Order: sequence, then C-alpha cells, then structure tokens
Amino acid sequence: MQLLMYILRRLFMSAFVLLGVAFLVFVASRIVPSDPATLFAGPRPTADQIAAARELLKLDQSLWVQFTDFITSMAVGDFGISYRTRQLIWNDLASFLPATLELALFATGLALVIGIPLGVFAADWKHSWFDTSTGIGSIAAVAMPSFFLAMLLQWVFAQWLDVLPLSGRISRDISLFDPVETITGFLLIDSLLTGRFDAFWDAIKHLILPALTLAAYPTGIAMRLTRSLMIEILERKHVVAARALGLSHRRILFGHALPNAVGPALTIIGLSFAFSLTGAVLVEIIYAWPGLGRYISEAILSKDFPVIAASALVVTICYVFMNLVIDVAQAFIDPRVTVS
Amino acid sequence: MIIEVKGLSIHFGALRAVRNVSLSVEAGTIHGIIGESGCGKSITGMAFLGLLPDGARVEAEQFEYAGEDLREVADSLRGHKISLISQDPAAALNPVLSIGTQLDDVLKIHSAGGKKQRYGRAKELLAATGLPDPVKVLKSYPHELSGGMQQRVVIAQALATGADFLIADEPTTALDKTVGKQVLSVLKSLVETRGLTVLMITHDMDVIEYCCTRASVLYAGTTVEDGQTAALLNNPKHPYTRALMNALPGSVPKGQKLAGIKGHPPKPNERIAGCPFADRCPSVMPACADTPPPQHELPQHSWSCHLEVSK
Amino acid sequence: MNTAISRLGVAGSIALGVICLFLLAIIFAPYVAPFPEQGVGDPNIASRLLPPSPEHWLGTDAFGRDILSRVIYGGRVSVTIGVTVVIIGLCIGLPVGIVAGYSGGWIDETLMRITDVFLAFPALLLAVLVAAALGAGMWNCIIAISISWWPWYARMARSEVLVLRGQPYVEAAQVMGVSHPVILVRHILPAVFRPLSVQGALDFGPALLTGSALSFLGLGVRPPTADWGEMVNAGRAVFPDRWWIAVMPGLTIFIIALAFSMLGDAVRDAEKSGSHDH
Repeated sequence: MQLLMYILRRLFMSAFVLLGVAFLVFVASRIVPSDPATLFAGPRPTADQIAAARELLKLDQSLWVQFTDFITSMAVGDFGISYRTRQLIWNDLASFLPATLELALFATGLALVIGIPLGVFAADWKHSWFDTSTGIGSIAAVAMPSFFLAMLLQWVFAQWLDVLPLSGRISRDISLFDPVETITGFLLIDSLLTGRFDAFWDAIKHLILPALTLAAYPTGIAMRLTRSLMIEILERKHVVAARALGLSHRRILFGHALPNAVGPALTIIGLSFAFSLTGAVLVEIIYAWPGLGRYISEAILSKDFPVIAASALVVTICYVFMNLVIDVAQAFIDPRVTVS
Repeated sequence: MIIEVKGLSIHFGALRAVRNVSLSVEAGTIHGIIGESGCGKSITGMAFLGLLPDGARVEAEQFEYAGEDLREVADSLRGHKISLISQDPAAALNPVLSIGTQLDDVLKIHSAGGKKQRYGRAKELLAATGLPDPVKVLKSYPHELSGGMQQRVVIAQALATGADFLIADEPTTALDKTVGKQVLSVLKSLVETRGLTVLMITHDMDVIEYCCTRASVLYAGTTVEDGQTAALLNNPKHPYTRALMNALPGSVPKGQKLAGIKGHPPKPNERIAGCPFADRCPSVMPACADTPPPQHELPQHSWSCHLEVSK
Repeated sequence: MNTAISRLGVAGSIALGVICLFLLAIIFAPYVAPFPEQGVGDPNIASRLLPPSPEHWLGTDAFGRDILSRVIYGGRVSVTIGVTVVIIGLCIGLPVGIVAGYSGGWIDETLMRITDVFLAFPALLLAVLVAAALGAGMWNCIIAISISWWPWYARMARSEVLVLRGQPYVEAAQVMGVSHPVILVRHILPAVFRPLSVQGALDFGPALLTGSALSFLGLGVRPPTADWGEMVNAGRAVFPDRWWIAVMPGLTIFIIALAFSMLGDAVRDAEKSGSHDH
C-alpha cells in the first residue's frame, strides 16, 4: 500500500516534470534568433510564403495558444516537419531513437559491469596499488573528452589493429543485401528474434567501440562513487557487528556491505544513462551511428530547430522514465525509501 | 575465572585510550564495567573481540580468555567463543537484509544442518530472547521492529554464534528505561539458563545494580575500584565511585558532565603521574598529584586510592 | 602558503603547477605564443599541414596556422567558459538553494520543483538545446551551459541550509529576533559558501569539457577565433594521416581537464582532513 502510494506520487511528479520540460523546450524554440517562419518557408522565401508559414505554424496566435497547441501535438507524437528534410519528425525519431537507446543502454551496462566491481575492490583494498591505479584511471576516464577518445579508439582498433569496424551500426553486406527484419528496432534483439546470428555478431562488433567510448565517463564516475560508498558502509556498525558474529570477509563484503550500496548504485545507473544518452550526440557523429545524436547534430548545423526540440524532448522523456523506473526499483530494494 | 585481565593498556601512537585495566570475570556471571563516556570502556570491550581500529597497540601482563592469550587468539575466537551485543541495535542490524537472512548468515557458519534445521534454530533463538512471534520477525526488516525487538534480535544473533562470552556494549542506552529493563532481564535469564558470561559495559549504576554480580569502575582508562555489586553499592571506597552513585537516580547521560563534580576526565594524550582523578576529587590531598595511589584489597573488593591510608 | 601546498599532496601540487603554467601562458598569450597573429586567426597558406617540427612544435593546421599558438589562444576561450559557467552557476544556484532551504514551505516547494525540471534534462542535452536556440558564440555557449549547471548548486546549497537551520546558533539568532536577511548573510551564506566553492573548483574541468563538446558540435565561438573542440573537429577530416591537428588540441583538453579534476580532488581531501583537525 505504502509502495503503491509512493509509485503514484512519483508518477504524478514525473508528469509534472515533463510538463515543465515541455515548457522549457517551447520557450527555447521561441527564442531562436532567426524567425521560425522564415526558416520553415525554406531557402529564399517570398513574403507570401513566409506569411503562409506563419499562419501554418500559428505564430500569429497568442503565446498561450501556441503553448497549449505545442503540448497537445507533442502529446500525440506530432512533432511537426523537419525544415531540412521536410519529413515528419515522428518517422525519423521512430527509426533513430532505438539505435541511440541500444547504444546508450549497452554503454550503461558496460559502465556498471566494469565500474562497480572495480570500485568495490578499490574500497576493500584501500590505499593499495590497485586502489591508486584505478583511482588514476577513473580520473583520466572522467577528464577525457568523449569525441577525442572516440577518434583514438577508432584509430587503434579499426585502423591500426583492424579488429573492429570503423563506424556504422551494421555491415553494408547485411544492411543492403540481407537486412534484418525490424521488430523492436533494437538490432541486437531483432537479430536474435529472427535467428540471424551472423547479424547479431556483426552488430555487437559495431557496438563495442562507440559503447566503450560512451562508457568511459560513467565508468569512472561509477567507480569513484562505489568506492567512497563502500568505504563508508564498511565502517558502519552493522559491518563491525557482522565481524563480531564471525562472518567471513567475503560474506561481509558481498552479502552485507554491497546490498547497502545497491540503492545508491541505482542512482549511478541514472547518471550513467544520462551521460550515455547525451554523449551519444558527440559519439554518434564520429562513429556514423544512425541514431538521435547524429540526427541532432545534423539539425544543429542546418538550424533545423523543430528537430532539435523534438529530439531533446524525446531523449528527456526517456531519461525521466528511466529515473522513474530507478526510483521504483529503489523502493522495492530498500523499503525505507517509501516512508520519507 | 573465564576472563583474567591484568594491567591492560591500549595505545594509539601517543594516545592512551586504556591505561591500566584489571578485571577477572567468573564464568556464568554478568560482570559490569562502569564509567563516564571516554573512559575506555568500549575500547576495552572491542579488545576482547580483536576489533580495535588500525594502529592500536595492546599491552598487558595478562589478557586471557579461558587461559588463552587474547592478543593471539581474539581473531579466531571472535564470532565463535566471544561475540558482541552493540549499543545501538538499529545501527547494528543491516538495514537492507531481512532478519531471517541476517540470522541465517550467522547460523550457516556455526551450526550444522540444512536450511530447514537452521530455520527451526532461528525461530528457537528468537523465542529464547522473548520475542512473541518469531516467524513474523524472521520475515521483517530491521526498521519494521521496535528498538527492544531489534536488541533481542541482536542478542539472538550473538547466541547463534554459540559464543559463551558476550560483550554487551551499553545494550540499553538506545532504548527507553522500561524496554531496557526487559532486555536486561532477557540477558539475565539467558545467563542463568545457558551458562553464558557477559561483560556489561554501561554508564548507569542502575544497570549494575539490576543485573551484575560484580563490577569494575573505570576512570581515565584505569580500574579504580572493583568488587561485588553489593560491596560497591553499599560501601563504595573510591571518591569517583561515590560520585557515580550520587548521580543516581537516573544516570549520567552520554557526554554530559558528572553531577556534583567539576572538570573533565583527563584526555588520552595527557600524562598522569599520580591519581587520574586528582583534579576533580573532592577529597584530594598532596600525594594524589604525584604518587600513584596504593591498591587496597578486601575479600571481593579492591580499590586504589590514597584516602584510606591517611585515615 | 607552504602548508597549503603540502596539504595538496604530490598529485595536487603537480596539477596546480600545470594549471598555473597554463594560466600564465594564456594570460600572456601575445608574448608566449610563437605566432600570435595566427593564434588569433590569420591564415598562412605557405605552411599548410606541417607536422610537428622545431619551428612549429605542434605542427600547423589546414590554414597553415601554428597549432601551439592556436591551442594557447583557444585556452583563453575554454578557461573563460569553464570559470564563468561555474561562477554564474553559483550566482544563481546559491541564492535559489539558500532561499528554498531557509524559507521552506511553498517557496521551497516551488523553487525545488522548478529545479527538478531543469535537472530532468540530461545536462549536455539542455546545453545543446539552448545553445542551438541562441546560436553560436562564446557568451551564448556560457549561458547555455550555465542553465544546465545551476540546479546542482541549488540542490546542494539547499541541503546544506537544511542542516544549518537546525544548528543552535542559528536557532538562537532567530529566537533573539535577528532579522532573516541578517541571519542569511551572517550565518548561513558563509557556511554554505565553503562547501559549494570546493564543489565549484571541482567543476571547472567538467564545465570546460562541456564547453569543448559544444564547440565540437559547432556551437562554440565563431571562427576564426580558436576553440579546442572546434579544432579537434576540424582535424577529424584528416585523421589519422595528419594526426597532430586533432590530437594536439584533444590532448590539451584532456590534460587541462585532468589537472582541474586532480586539483579539485586534492582540495576536497585537504578540506576533509582540515575539518578533522579542527
């Protein structure tokens, strides 16, 4: 009951936050220095075209009408038309979003799988050579600009060692001559669902470098947070008590201390996911990954603002949703959360 | 005597947390250690468990459990022969694991038998601490239990280790008075029925009076008086013990000054030439400042003070 | 001063040294840079795409400009962005957080829900959105990043204030009838400022990184002014054959961000051990 109330409250708050997010995106879309109508009307527009565009975009209406209109159309997935491609933005998003989510989720997973265990061991062997070297590694990972790391990794693994593909999401042989049927839009899942193990393996190979690039920063963060968290937990009284009860060190570390870290570690998932989503904007350009990030960056260059706004909104919705899931998961794991 | 301690001192570099503690505990009894906070009670307790913070140096003429030197065997006895009931049960239980898991974790190490048998044993142990509904408690999480119930669970855990010597570090401080009494009576009956030995660390004379056969009074890391509870209560010899008695009724709340006595106990980094209590003693005399007080022995009662000599 | 440096430790001191050298270099750029006019943007077609050599330590770019000079001048932009973003972030976040934490009630509720909305965006994405709306340029870039930066400080300041509000000396001041603005300025602000300024110092690196990311996307300063992210992007087309064009500015971003993080860590550790001492 308590849990249900908690979930409902979080749902309500998320809805409120999304409304605020939509409002901010709307405001941003109205401060564009160039006139939206002029941009919409295309290159070298006539006065009539601009006027028509103004009417179509309802720019002559009051701001309030414009905003409610914006909200209602966003709510039904009507993101308008791209200035550049003249395509429905919805269609573009539908094909690009899964690619980005696949990349971001994979990177998040990678960051957790690497970062959390390293953090645990660093805390356990505090001030050892292991702690020092992972500490340096984590600072370096956090200070590395992802777009630069992407180039270096590409150079080492694709060009120099030639063990992984340079860019793209899947080999041309597969995408052109023998494409995987789209079911979920997630290539890894679709290829498995259709039994295309060649495509699955190919997709994995394409995924490794961009995912590693994206994972670097969250891995460093996850490692540092886990380490300081575990150091704090290992000093708690119940850990001392567990030692007084004769529990083994391993059991204390993984059975008693780590479960206490799971709640806060979920926050790390949120942070990692947020970074992976936005880092995708930079990394997808370099790896020619057909996702939202590349879509946004192309839109930036051509001042295609509806695309930027819609993408930002969609990515943020994913992020808010992820946070909601994390909060609920946290409540399940640590029942104390629902009380406060 | 299950515990024999003579001249125990514990140093952290230049800090002397414990200067000179001596006590002996008879098996099957509750032995109290009383003193203000910062007098080295808890550190002494942790020394029995081999759980002192890094950098601690333990020295003693004698520091034995059942004839074995604790400096060598504390690590292997911890959780098998010696266990802990800590001050704050809410902090001593892992907040994210159910009571069942936590109790089972301990039983896994210490008792033979499969999951079913351990479950049965867990219920038995909880019942032994006077918890009315063990099955429900096993399913709960610590925050769902009251302080008194939490402390009973902690006691059950200590029992689960099979230890026969328990360090109870202010087990009732975090609880209210009545609940504290109930927990003490549980401990008392366990001592009687199971032949346990308990070292009861407290700052509360009431606790000593209620459940301890014998007690040691600690001041500034030094045993200043030691004896049968009745002897201590009816005929306190050391002025510090008397001051503690005067603090009755009620007790000395943690960190608060002792009623009727000015000043603070000496800090762990201070050197003490004479009597540690000299600065605050109402009956101080010149010898107290520079000469260590002599030890007085009666049957079942001993203290170290200059006072009796001059009288 | 001596003890301050010794408390930073080896890593912190090296980081501080690197940062000081670097700051000196960008302040005195016209005298330090070997080709100041190229650093500002003048092309020099005669020496295009030269690899590193004694004359051009870090090589030259597609316009024949000396990359060392460009990196030094680009540093001016990057550091200005990093520092200004943190300062603006503190200037907005600190008052919002303090007022929210101190007043409580509906004011707190309103301010924090607004903060939540800003925090709901992944940070870089919000910056991209705003920068794209405002158009390229250093100040637009600073505004864009600051908008995604302040909510963190607001949240931090608020939680600090919540702790402080229960402190006996604050309660005593309230009981004695000291006015709220005076309590805020005398008691709350100084106590909140300290931990937040440490956090701010820790954030120079990330702010600078975010700036370079926007610049990489073409949302930074307008050419021909040098900007690290844009320089890496420009070098991408000829990477890895003419590797120095992208690698030199890329490495610079990495080293400076690393130095700022290491210094920030050292300051935080010193702060921690300092508060233990007293």
